[in-house]
Amino acid sequence: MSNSNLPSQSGQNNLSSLNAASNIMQVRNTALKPTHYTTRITSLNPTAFVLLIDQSGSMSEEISDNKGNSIAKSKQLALTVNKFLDEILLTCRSTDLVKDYFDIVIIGYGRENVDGESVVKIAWEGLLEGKSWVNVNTLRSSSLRKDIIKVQNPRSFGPKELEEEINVWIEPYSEGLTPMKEALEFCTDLLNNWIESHPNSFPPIVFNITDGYATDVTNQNEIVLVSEKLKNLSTSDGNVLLINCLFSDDIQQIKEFPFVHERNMFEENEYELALFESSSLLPQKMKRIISDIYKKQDYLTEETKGVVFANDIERIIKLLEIGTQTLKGTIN
Amino acid sequence: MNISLSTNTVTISKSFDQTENEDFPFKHNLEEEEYSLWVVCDGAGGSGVFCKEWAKHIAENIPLNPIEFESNYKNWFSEISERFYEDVLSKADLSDLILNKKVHRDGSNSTMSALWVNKRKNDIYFSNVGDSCIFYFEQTQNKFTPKFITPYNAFNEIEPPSPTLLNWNEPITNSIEFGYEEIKNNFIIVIASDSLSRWIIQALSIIDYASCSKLFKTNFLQSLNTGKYEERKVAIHLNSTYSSTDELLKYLQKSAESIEFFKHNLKELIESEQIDLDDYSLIFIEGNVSK
Repeated sequence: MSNSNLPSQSGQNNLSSLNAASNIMQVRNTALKPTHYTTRITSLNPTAFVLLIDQSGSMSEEISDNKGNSIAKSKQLALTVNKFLDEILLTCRSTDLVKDYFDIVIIGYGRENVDGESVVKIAWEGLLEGKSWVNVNTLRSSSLRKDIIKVQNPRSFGPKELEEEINVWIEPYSEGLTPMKEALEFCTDLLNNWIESHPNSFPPIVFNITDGYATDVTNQNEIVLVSEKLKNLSTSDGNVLLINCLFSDDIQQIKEFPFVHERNMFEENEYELALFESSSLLPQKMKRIISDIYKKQDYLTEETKGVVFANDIERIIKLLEIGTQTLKGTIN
Repeated sequence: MNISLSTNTVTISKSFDQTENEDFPFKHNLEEEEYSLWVVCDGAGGSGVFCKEWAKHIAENIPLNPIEFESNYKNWFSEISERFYEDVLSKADLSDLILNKKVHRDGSNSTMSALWVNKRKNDIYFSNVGDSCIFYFEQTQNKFTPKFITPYNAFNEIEPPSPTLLNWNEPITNSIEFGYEEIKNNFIIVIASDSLSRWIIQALSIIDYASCSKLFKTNFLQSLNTGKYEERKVAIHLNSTYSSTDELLKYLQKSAESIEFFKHNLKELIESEQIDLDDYSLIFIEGNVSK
């Protein structure tokens, strides 16, 4: 299946400038201190999640899931985001109440405005439309709709069937171009303000989920540079983490959390290389979790990039869940 | 040989009241009975719900006879799990379907540190799941030295990423730690929940590194010098009012004597950044042996 939003070949000239930019990044990104990413997350000192989601026209193309079913990428993405938000509700539900451990914002890029221009805007809809940061209690009460399903209880005791609630906050969209650079800049501004009021929080985590290359740049190197500004934002507990996910079945092979020394795997593709360079180095806490999940001890000792190139929804969900798993041990 | 036991227990939540406390210390110590039992269960609310209730349920249902516990712990656990579901969860308000899903998917988690003393045969037995801790100090040549610190003696680092926990939602599939020790001399046993245990271990490693180097793995000792523990070690060293294991034990004994002492000492440790903010439990048992 083709992907109209990905370049089929890369240009060597662009790669040269990417390489130059990456040399600067390698110097700047080495400051991962073991004492960072340890702040306890509480309702009074929450952390932030940002989801940057590609809503450009190419997201209407279908992709095969791991059961062989074809489904539009935009639908897969909306399902993934809604599942992630449900997971956040579960994480924050204590016995007595829902705790506001996270501030969340979803930024969509690609949808067209009335003038037909592809824009970047906060993607909340319904009761949340017009809001920026949303805490977990507000999220709980503001889904667009919810379905109740029945699932089998696997235990030998208790009811045979259990009711579960599935919420929808985000609908699928696919139109226009891919203003990813503008989205990253918008995200940087939002987080800059958020950090001013939460200077001692666990550092915010940004997930950028896209199926293609930025159309608002002349050179993919610009993505690396704007990402650098985003990653340079920091709280007293460390820098903002940027984790990229390329959602496509055009990729040569699945690449999940590559080691820094595997950079040459991406050199054939300017776009993949840009996402690789843009992504944060993962802190030890996150590396431990992926080491457990992927059964690979090397993650604990090697420098690892927060980037996943995936062609099925399960991998993207796993990526997002690594974010919540990382924070589970830190919530108080 | 006769053993006389004196014991104190204190517990406090991270907010320094009792309403939010997910720790549950428990004792059953009657002079006329062969066995005495002490337990600390630390409900782990970060990854489950009804953990406070679950910790209490486990602690109150541990068999008084350690041999019975050891030979049948899988069935015991299966029985108390089902009973917890029937007695507590099926009567709880689970009309919020997010809570209902969390109950049935994530269950409830707790550590368990149990210690039995057989007062007639002069034995102790212990069992551990998770990262609460049992410290056994033996008095020889008029001073106390740590003989075992379990389960941390098996750990590779001071803060294991995902310690095993007891969850009614998951049967016990692996064996759980169970041990035995013959009592020969005067002893002190300290049972503490996780954050307090880590503080005691760090303090002990400063004042008696020689003993600690025999008890712990090399990786574990190295982890006391990395990240926040490296910084904390300096704070502990600067603020300590004890210079020997005996003095540290007196400090703990005093802390366990009253909730006011306990609060006061913990506030000092928190303010000087020596300890994580957490729920705290401390059981202090002093055993005097007369021959």
